[in-house]
Amino acid sequence: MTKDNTLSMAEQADKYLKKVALGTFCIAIAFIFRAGKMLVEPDLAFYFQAGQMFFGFSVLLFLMPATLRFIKLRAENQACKEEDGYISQMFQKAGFHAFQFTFLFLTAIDVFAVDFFEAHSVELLLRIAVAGLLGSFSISFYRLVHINDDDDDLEESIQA
Amino acid sequence: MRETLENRIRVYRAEHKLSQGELADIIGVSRKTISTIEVGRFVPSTVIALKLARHFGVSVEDIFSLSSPSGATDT
Repeated sequence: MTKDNTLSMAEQADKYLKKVALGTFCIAIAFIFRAGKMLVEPDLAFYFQAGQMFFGFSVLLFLMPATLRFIKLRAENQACKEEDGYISQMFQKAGFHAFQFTFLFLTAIDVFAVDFFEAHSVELLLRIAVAGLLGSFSISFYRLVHINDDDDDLEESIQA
Repeated sequence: MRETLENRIRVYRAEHKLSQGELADIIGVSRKTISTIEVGRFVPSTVIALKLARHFGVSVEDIFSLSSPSGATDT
């Protein structure tokens, strides 16, 4: 029996959301490589291509099995559909932060960096914007979630 | 004037000799959810509040209360 099987449905749902956020961060890195590829010399572009492929396939490899397992859990157990737990709420909050960041970024580009459009393609801007969107989402999520909570002081006294 | 949500989950847990993990399993949430509610970092949904109250056999107001900065507590 794996460790995952001993976790409650709610814990498994939280764990899955954390994996999704990590996967989102990897996709953001892949997009940074993709954008960087357009800015470097052709001989260096190979390394950026390799980086993009590495992070892209990493996400597929570790997120795909987790997603399939989670879909199965959701189908089997109603508890997994609970969306008002702490991690779920922070996930939604991180999405809101990412929207704010992207909106401000695109507005700033539109207002202050008119030259950018003349010097670079829209494709590059889109790649940077997507990387920023996904990166800000995952960083915001981990910043919100990884705040130390109080230790459960009853755990030891009950076990004793 | 900003009011804060206070709770007595820790007290009720102690009375029922439950760990955060055990209470979380009973309510159907993760341990992190219970711990963040306890320390006041996370305001739970009505559903979670009602489940907690039902489990401890008390009203929601017995567990949660609003306190103003002046120290007055509204239940």
